[in-house]
Amino acid sequence: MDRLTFAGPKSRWRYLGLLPLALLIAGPKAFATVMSGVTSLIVAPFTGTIEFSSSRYEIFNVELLLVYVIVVLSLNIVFQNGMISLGHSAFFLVGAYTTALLTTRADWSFWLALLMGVVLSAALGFMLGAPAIRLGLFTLAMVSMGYALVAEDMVTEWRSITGGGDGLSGIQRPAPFGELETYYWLIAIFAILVFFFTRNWLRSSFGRAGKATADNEVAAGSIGIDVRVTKVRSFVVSAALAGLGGGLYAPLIGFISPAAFTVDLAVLFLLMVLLGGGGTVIGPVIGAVILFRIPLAVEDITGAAGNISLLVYGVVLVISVRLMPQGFMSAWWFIRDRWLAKYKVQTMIDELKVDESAAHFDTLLAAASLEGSELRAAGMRKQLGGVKAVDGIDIAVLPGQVHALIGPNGSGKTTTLNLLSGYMESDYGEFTLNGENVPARGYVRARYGLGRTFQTPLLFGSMSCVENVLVALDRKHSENPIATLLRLPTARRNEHEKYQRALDILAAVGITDPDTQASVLTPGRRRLLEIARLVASEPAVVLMDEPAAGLTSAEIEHLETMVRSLAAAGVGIILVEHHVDFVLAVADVVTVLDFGKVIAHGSPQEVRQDPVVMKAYLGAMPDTAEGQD
Amino acid sequence: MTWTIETIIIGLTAGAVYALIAMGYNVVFASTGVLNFAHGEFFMAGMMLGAYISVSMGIPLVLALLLTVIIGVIGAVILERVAVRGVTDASSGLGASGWVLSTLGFGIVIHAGITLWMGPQLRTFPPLLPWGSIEILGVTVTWQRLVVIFAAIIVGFGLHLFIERSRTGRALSAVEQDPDAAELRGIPVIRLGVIAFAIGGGLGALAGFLAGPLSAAVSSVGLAYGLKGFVAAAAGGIPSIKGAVIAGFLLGLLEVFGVAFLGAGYRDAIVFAALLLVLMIKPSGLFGAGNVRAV
Repeated sequence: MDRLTFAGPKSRWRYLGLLPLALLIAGPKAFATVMSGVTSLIVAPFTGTIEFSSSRYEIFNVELLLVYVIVVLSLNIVFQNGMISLGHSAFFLVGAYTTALLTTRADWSFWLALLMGVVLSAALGFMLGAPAIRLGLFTLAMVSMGYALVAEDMVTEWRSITGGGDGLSGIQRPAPFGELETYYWLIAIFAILVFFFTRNWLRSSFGRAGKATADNEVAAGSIGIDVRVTKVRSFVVSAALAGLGGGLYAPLIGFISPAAFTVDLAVLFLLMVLLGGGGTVIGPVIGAVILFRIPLAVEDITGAAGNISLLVYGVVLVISVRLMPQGFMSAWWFIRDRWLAKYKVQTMIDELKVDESAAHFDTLLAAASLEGSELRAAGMRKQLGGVKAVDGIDIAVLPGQVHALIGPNGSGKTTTLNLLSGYMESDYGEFTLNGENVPARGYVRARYGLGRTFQTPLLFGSMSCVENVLVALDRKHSENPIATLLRLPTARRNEHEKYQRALDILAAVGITDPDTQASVLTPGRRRLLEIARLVASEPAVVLMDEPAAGLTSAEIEHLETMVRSLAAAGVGIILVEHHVDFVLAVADVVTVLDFGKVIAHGSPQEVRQDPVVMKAYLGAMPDTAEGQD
Repeated sequence: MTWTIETIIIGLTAGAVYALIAMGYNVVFASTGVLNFAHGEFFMAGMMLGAYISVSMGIPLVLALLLTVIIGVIGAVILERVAVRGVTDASSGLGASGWVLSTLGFGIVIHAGITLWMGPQLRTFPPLLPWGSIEILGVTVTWQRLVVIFAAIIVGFGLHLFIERSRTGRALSAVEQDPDAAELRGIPVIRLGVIAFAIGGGLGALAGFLAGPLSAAVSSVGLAYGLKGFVAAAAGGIPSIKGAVIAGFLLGLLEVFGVAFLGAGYRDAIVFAALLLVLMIKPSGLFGAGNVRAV
């Protein structure tokens, strides 16, 4: 997968990226010659001729391609954040019309008009991004398509301002870039800037938060990411860049009309992103080049454009999905890894060395100087359907205390945790952290230091282990966004430090293969990674939902030492667990729930001998219950 | 008064078409989790093939209808095999988005293929029933409109009963709730996916055939109708059939009255503003299950 960080081992292939850059700098003629030449080479078996052309037509094609690249790169930001937009032609339209109208009708300078187009597109992006939070994945896709359709309609309708269906003509290119050949440089510069901007975006904390949100919203919230902010931010930035593309498009063509901004164009942009590989840095550019050249190639062969090229287009899409379901870049990495694997010595995954890892974990926590908080919840009630799932529960945990919450299935343990985490709002009850009321929103409570692990570990599946930890570290180490996006030395140093720290945390919990994708980890390692992410978020209180479920006895032992270390570092822990031995070994206080009520409370020893508990939970004979799980 | 009734009937007719399209989306989504981006082109294909089979080939209408629907079913089964199966089961989330690309691509193939074959011009389409029109409340209504409206209601009821009552229908909705659990219980998930696509394709073609005589057949309608059908589905609450029918009719009415009062240029704006409004108030749609579950 594409990396979501600048740090870490450098790819041997990164210099390949210099080729397109060199081509861009070589100028319009060279670029056009290469583009047309490669296309004609590919279709040579059908046409019988090879032609390298740098005609004005081919130069125009190259410039149009670069404009599309800008829009496609912008769309990639939204896609990487887990949203599908079929409405980017609307932003493209706003940028184009704003620039065209302000320069032709209001005599604005091109540069100001371009800026205005970007600003208006961003505003429209906010309007589309705001509902995006609530809409489902595909509803958003279709609603955004509606935006594209409506934008096209409105421009046609507002004849007096926009010229309606007849369009606007006489759009001039700005001063030093007045000719088609010189205008190339303006577009090329912007294309390069946008490329590096989106690359820096995707590989910085912005991209990581976006990817984390796309992978799992609940887990993202549990480390303090505000899902809504992430999504709206992506949309606004993306729309602004698409508007920039539109603003460059209008003077390139010199004439714009609604027919140039159809929904088909929005679909084309999305296809370019998906074909190349959505969310990857280079993929969308490759997708744009391929899909841009296909109609031209078909035209070379058949001598006619239109529906034949559309047909070829559709067939190419269907076939390419069968060959490379996740886009060009994934397919390329797959082949590359297969090839590299031949030359690589296979290493066995290290056996977990519990003692070593435990000592490391202690040092790490000691160095982190965590500050525990006191959590208090009083009189929590929650009705789910007809059931009183939680019926007046009080819970308090002091810094450094391990508070176990046990009870039979359906006794309200997980509901209690969800109430404490803020995933559900309790019908009644108070909640304070260090005496402060904290609203019942997952990400807000996480920001107050409430950490959480889940019954089934919730990881960011498409990200590597180290990226999973980095996302959490990002929340704690605020950075200057401008330095990050420009990738200034301070930002690089910062990123490098975070990366080293992430590796350190992973090693401390016993994960030695930091580049492995989280979704392919074994259940035991998933738990470990979740704990690593938890530690990275520097929690004050931790809620753990059945952390021992599915672990081997060696892994449970390891978990036990980690829980103890966390408590020793001053973190308060609330633990829901079925594994009685584990609970009795680590807990300072045990609360027993049944039917949503507290039926016993005290030290493990007291609870163990409580007759009510024996009856409700441990069974009548505690000696036989022991040792089983 | 006459004008109002006329407008209502026109709105209901358009709404019936949207409802039929929406049901196609819902059946497919319910059992496969795939939003068929080619669905609008199935509608278009139904319309164009209907015109070709009935007018150019001179085959009687009822037979032409049957043939068109069968072609729609076959086309959808091919779509499922070529563009969906094996593409959906990637790791997680948008990683599994290959089918977005391939269903869009398949739609483009249908669109371009039919346009190449039959040309971009309008084709006439005869009405389904030979009797012309009748008078309702002092308003002349063509039988074609009534046929379309009743077709949507009957198909809606039929589909609703099928999904609620029949074994296959219930299995379809079980797959939607939990494909893995369904598989474990011996429900043939893949075969149900094929069945769902077959029903969806048939519904799309049927809708196109029925809508043909209302205007004329042309190969560029796929996108607009596909989108409106989706709006009805989303507003009604995917995958509720009842929701699709009711929201379809409401959408048709909203559209005609909106156009009557604001002008034709605002047609899409009205439709999407209404959809957003509904979804802001109830994100799961009018009849969608309010599926709010914490971890």
